[in-house]
Amino acid sequence: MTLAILTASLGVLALSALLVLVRAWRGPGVFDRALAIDALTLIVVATLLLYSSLSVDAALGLALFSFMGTALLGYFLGRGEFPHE
Amino acid sequence: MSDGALPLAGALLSLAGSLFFLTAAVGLLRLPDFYTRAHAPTKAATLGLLLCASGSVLLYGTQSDTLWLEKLLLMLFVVLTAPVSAQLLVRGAAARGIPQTPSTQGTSTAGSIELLEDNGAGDRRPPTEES
Repeated sequence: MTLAILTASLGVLALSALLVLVRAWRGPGVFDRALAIDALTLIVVATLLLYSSLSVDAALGLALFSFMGTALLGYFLGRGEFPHE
Repeated sequence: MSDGALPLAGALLSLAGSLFFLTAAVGLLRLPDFYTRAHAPTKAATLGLLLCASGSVLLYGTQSDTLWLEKLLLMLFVVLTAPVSAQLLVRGAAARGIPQTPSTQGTSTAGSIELLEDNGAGDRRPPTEES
């Protein structure tokens, strides 16, 4: 019963990763793609947490590098400055 | 992982979290422009990750000694950093002049959600306070 519910939740995670990949494929502009890759990284982190009890370190490192990558992309794609300063 | 009350509760929490991830993915796919699309993975996926991590703690937590602490650290990190990265992306898009949908600009007729097709090269800035 537990294993069936866990398998169902992993399947729902795979479906949502597929929908996010559709957005990353056809997103108009680089900002939509960056947003979709950020959401995809969160989905992969949740999958790593649910799949095994030993992949917590990989999930933590992936979340850290995802934050760094998305923050630097948002900063440097927007001309390296903030709009109302 | 074995059958019992706590792993069953953890699996149910994981199912709820993955449904929130599905909500975030549908919102990311169907909302009209970038600024509304930035809401979907920021809030719904953060909540889904919190639920999935709590379910993972209940699923695997009692086997080893300190893995639940690391999952708690991961939840705290994601709660702190997901709004920051989304805010940086949205401010970068506003600096580049990514167009908004008309129904979020406050000047068009209410209730019409349409994709911006006729906006040219896309270097029009969104409306600011002084314009």
